[in-house]
Amino acid sequence: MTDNLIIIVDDDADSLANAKSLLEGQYTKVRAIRSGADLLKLTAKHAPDMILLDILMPEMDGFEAYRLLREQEKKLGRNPAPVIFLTGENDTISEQHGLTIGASDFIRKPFNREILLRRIQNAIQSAKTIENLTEEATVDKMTGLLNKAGATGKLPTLCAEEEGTLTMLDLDNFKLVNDLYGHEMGDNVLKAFARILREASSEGDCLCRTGGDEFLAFFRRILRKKEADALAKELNMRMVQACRDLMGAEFDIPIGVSLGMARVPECGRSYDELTRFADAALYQVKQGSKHSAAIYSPDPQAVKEDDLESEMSRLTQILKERNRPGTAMWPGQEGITWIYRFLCRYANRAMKLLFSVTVAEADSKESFAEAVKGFSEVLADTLRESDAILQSRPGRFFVLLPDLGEEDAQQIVRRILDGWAESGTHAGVKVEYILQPQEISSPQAGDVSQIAVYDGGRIALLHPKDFIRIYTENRRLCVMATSGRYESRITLREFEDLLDPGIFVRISRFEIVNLRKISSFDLSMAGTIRIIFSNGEETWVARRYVREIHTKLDQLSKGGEAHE
Amino acid sequence: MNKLAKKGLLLGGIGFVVGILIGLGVWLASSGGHPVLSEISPFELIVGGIYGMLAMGGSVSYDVEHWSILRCTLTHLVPTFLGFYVMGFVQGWLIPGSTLFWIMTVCWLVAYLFIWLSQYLIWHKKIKALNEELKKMKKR
Repeated sequence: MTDNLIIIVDDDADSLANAKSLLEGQYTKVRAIRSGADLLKLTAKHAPDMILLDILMPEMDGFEAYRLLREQEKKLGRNPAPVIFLTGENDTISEQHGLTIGASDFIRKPFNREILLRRIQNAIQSAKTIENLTEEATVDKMTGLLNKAGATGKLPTLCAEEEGTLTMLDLDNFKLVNDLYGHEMGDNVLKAFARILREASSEGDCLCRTGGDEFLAFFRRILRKKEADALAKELNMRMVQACRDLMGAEFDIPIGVSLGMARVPECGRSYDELTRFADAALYQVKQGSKHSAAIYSPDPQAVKEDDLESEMSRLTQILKERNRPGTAMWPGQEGITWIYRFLCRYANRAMKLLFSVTVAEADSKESFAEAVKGFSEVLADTLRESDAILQSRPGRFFVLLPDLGEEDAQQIVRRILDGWAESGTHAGVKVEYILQPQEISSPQAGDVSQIAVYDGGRIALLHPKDFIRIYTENRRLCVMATSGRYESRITLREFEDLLDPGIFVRISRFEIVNLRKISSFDLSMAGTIRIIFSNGEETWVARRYVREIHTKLDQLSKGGEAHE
Repeated sequence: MNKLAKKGLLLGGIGFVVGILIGLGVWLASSGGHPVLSEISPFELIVGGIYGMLAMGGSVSYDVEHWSILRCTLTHLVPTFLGFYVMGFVQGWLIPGSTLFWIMTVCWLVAYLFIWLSQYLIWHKKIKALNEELKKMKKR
């Protein structure tokens, strides 16, 4: 007994019962139905392994039912089920027609049990063989998705008949996985991505791997940019998670997925053209921030357009540090160059340190390589997360220590040397160092001349390269001017005193204004007190400062203590 | 916890005590000089306390610097107005749709309109004074 689903379709009840009884001893699932319409209803829900279809039936004959069945299978994306036509007539024309349109076989009634069973078995086996061969030729063994041949076979039909997007997907920085973790890990990442892609797709979508890390898909439900962005975000998020699971905590590759899409039918129905359009959109993404999706538009500007928020989110995704190890950075020659230059421009202070590790072979039990490795480990364990290390050549370590003075840096050196001493006996290994302050080339304190403008919590200085920010520290409102080495922290009250207590007055927790720049005060209908400045700008005033403003105005109008 | 929240809680606590004290006062006043302990309803006292808490705690809305007088007034109106009705319904002396209900509603709205208007006029006067001082200062 086999559990193949066999459907017999015949309008003649006796013939139907006869066929069913013949088959039921051999097959467990035999369904007998009376019309082509019933057949289509049943096949919509179940995929049969074999259909015995009578040709002569009222309303819908066997050939019509066969045609509709094939259409249904195509729509559902199923492989065609083998069909054997049944007829009581000795009609060679019908037989010829049936075989021409694709029937597996042709059987005349009344049935001979042995012949019927043998022919059914042969037809099922042939169908299975064809299915296996087709699958072998069209399925990518590693991921289980369709391969390029499969894509070429299926996608043109979908593009010609359905609505959706033809999407080209490419893994960003996948090469680094192969280079750093080996090809086996690369294969695992591809398998994981195929799984993620399958989970993110809907019924009726078509997914293909066309080569290396390139994929092609037809998504029926992705029609708008918003949906494309959501898909890109989900794929990227899950991809990073999958890589983290595969490669562990040390995984630090900005891997992601870029998607280029062409809308069907808006961009046409030609598969070749759509592929080109999707490729152009993918190129656009790859040239930009990657890890995202773009939908092709004939207007190149439209492809570039993207809302600022998602652009910011993508850039953040690319720039952010993944799996922060909690030790100092080893950014390499190029990386440390940029850090160094940045510190020169921005930092208030920084120190640079160069260690030299040498081994006198005659006195040492450990090799030079072992000593260097051991020392680099001590460095990594001892230094702060914000420090940066470069091994400039074997045995030489250059270290950048931002935001530290010489005294603090000396402490760090002592900590490193203590750590090195504690890590074992290093007879014959000599560690030397040189510590210097880093050159700071940003503007000096003297450059800050005077405070010029006040506007809603920001204070701009006349010096074009400088700025002041207001913040709270220990529940005190503070003002800090940042300008290279210049840094001062004063309370707002001190700051106000510096400005000139007679001219400036506080109008809210975060705002002070120059009274001479006020044009008038105003009360809105809702009861908000507003200040209108001479230049037409407006701001609101906290009610509790009105008395203070009044007092100061009074002093100024009487020509008292206030002076400009 | 920020200052406003702290102040709201403090005032709410005081309001609760005041609400209970008023309840006790009413009990004493209605006893005709012969207070009977068993006639005190703890439920009514607590309800009065909660109402006091809402009314006083809600008054912190006037401390939000950047809010207009109208917004402060409306923000205070919401908890006190709703609180009053909920308390009335819970205690069973205020029936929705009754004459008392509508009289109270009108009284509430008129009272708050008066609060807003008086505040507005006070601030209007202060702003006028500020502008006069500003003019004087500019003349010098």
